[in-house]
Amino acid sequence: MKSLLFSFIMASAAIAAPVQSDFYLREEIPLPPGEVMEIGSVALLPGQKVAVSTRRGDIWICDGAYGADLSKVTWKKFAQGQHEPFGMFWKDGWLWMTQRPEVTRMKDADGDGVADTFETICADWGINGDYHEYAFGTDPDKEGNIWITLCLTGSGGAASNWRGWCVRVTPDGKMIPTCSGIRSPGGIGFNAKGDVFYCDNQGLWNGSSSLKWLKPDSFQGNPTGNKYHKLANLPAPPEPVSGSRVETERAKFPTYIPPAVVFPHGKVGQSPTGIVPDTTGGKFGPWQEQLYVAEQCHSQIQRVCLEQVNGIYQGAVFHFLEGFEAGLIPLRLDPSGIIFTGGSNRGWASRGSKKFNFERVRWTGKTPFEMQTMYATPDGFEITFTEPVDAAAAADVKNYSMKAWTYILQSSYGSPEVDPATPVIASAKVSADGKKVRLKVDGRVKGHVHHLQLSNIKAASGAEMWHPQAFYTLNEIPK
Amino acid sequence: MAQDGAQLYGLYCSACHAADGKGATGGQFPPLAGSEWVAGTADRSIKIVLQGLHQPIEVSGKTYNLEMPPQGAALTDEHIAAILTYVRSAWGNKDSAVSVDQVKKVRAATLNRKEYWTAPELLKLHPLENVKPPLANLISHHYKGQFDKLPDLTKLKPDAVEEEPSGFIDYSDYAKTDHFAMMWEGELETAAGKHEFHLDSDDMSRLIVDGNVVLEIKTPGPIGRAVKKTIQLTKGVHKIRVEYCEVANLEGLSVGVKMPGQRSIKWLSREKGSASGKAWPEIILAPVAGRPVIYRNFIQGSTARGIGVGFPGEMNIAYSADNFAPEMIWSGKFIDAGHHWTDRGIGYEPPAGDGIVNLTKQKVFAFVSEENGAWPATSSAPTRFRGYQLSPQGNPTFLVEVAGAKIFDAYESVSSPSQALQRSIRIDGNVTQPISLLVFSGAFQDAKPDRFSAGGLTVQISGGAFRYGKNTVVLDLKGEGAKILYSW
Repeated sequence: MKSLLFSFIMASAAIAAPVQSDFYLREEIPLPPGEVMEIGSVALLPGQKVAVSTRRGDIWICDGAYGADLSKVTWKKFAQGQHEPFGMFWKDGWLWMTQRPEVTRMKDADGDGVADTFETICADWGINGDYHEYAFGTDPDKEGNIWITLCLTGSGGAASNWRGWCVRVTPDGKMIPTCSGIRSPGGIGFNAKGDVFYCDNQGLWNGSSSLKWLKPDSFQGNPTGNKYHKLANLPAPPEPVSGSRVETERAKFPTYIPPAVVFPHGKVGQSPTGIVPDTTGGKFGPWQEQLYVAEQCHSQIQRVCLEQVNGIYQGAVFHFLEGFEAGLIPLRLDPSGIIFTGGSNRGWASRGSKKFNFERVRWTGKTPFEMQTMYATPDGFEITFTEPVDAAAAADVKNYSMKAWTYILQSSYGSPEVDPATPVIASAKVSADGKKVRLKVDGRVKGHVHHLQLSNIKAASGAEMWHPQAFYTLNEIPK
Repeated sequence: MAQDGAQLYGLYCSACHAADGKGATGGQFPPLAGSEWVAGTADRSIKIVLQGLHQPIEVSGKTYNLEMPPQGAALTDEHIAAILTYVRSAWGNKDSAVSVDQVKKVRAATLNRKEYWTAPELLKLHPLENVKPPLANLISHHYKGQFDKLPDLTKLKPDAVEEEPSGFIDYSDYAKTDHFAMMWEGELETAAGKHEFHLDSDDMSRLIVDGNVVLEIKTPGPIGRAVKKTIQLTKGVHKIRVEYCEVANLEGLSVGVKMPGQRSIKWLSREKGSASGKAWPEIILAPVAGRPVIYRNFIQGSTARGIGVGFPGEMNIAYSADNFAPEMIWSGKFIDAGHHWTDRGIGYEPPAGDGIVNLTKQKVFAFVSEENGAWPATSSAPTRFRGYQLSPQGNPTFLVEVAGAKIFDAYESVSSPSQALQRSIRIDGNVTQPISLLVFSGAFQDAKPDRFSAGGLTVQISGGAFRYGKNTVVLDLKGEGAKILYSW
């Protein structure tokens, strides 16, 4: 009996499902006691210091967030009284910040450790007192410009100038209206190449939350703020038809850029926020040049593999990290391979049950068995795995299933999943090294989300797959 | 196709209302388990799901000010019926199933509605059926008679005694008559802790808890003489007795209590008093260690780009970065940040102090010489707000650029010769044409070259002279700058 029990335990251990802590170490960074630290942005400072801004408008600087012993972390309040900043970075001795009314840069000129100089760089967009008129800003792009998405008034109107637009702010404070069609951003950032993306949340003219590419002069789908083109003599943005589909409307309007990657509502979070590319060169796992996207409601981080087909971005979103203590808002990835994140669930609920959090994530060095990339091919998809697959299982089409759907583009809130299709996996060819599978898929639908579900596919090593599903948005089919 | 209500609830609703129906993150979001809004007619819930709900709502004794996004475009009638059937039968809820037909009907009836619902609107259409009466075993007594003060009702014989199953103190059956008194006796169930009672009436009234007089309005007069008192009560049932007396003409009676830990007042009377609880916990900001506190936010009376500064010595300003001016000045407490720091922080917050004086409400720099006098309707000087600097003591100097010149606008609290707020204005750079600053607009008194007063505030200048127009006080800025002293 004893030996039977023993071998049963051994067998269980061998097939134990992969868990996050095998691969990634999530740790809470202690916050200053008694303070309400609803974190809205994270900036990296020289000397391994980390600055955070809070929704209450405080700026704090943390020393020790990189350290082995997080109990030694110390905090210093750098500034207070700012207006709900979402976006902050360090440049040339200044902390730059996008806050609700303006872009500000601040510094401690007299060296007493507290900011004393607050320069208003640009305050050219409108705010009228509506709580929903948030502003999310990036780090500087290659030209030094900050990209800012300006949420609609109350998320459904555009009562103040440039609401529903993305603007760029030059280092000398000039504002350049850049994209129209925005609803309610949750975060903004670059991909590895330096193109700019933002997350727009499900709502009016946005069937499901998605990651969108802010191509200059593009339209993102929500026409509520269109009228402001007149303020700068820009061409009128498209007026899509309510009840239509993105795919239909973008065929009419060349400036209408479709969502690069749709995050199906409820299935892959429901409130995506901060965006950061992995440019660590493998210090956070084998996801080079992919994007990490934070999620407020589900307290997660998703992983996005992008590609450009016919000039349009598209790609797959995979579940990645979860279990954060509150709703995540900003993401910051240190080149040494540490993610710093934090957030709040004030006003919008989250799975993480703390009111606010500040956390870091490091890679343990162990790579999970995952779909590393998923790219579209002329006749299907090509999947690359993080290690060689069990070729027999991976070659069996019965171990794959696919469903596809899209959403209604409409003036009312959200959309059900519509126009369902069931593409058929016609063949699965495993590469000689066992790391790639080429799927021939019949019946793909241009413009649809394609949900790929794997089953019974293990690594040649016997490892089980951590996240056996992917959601690919097929805007374009490669030739 | 049959829908799985529990699964759909998990997907679409549980993020905020929580898997256990108690409201996500420790009840920061409204509960559905045991909610009086869920119980009874399902039409109420169907409408909330279809068109969403915003503005404050009280659920199970707690006020929420969030926003439920409309789901009518994302969910089918089948989805909604399945979700609500689940919600109405889960977690101890015991209400009937919701049919697809019922959802269809409500959707058809509200097809043209684009706005979110509000709680008062829904309550009017669908009063809550299963709300526990505020007072149990309530009995009313009515007495005829002409009284000039509250009589000793134990010595009078009532002409009518009624049971009041609604549990509300309500004189409306007699609203069209004069010269009467009423008395209600009932039971209030309480938790242990401090209870803040509120009373207002036209004419006299008295609130008695467990035989002790807690509040009293002794003389005839109109509504607007509200009184309140906080008393400690043990957990359990307490006797509430309200006496009321109407002399003639208008009537009014409101009785309420703020229960321990609650931010809003629970009204025991049909009429609600003007006193209202805040929907947030108060967080009064104040200077720390003698250093002014900054609060950039929506301050009522100024613009959206408000920069509040609370100085030591209980003096405060709201500086508008839109209009380049201190638009309001007040004494006493600075501001209650609890408003913007709770839930989504919807709306403008007024100053927490008193003696509020509105200084200006428009852009304050213009090119106006003494000759052409009148202040222009819109500012004629191109002006940019460039930020602020804090002195080592934390005192702010706002920087604006006006037609190429830099204007430094500094503030600090001074205590001699008396408590005042001192403003120092300095110009740097080439001034190509004379710049004028609007110091005050509105009615002012005691105008002298170096001082005027308005609303109890005295404004005194050194290093310059005020120029008065009709409802305007202007300072022509000269190279050497000027100092302005604000005091009460």
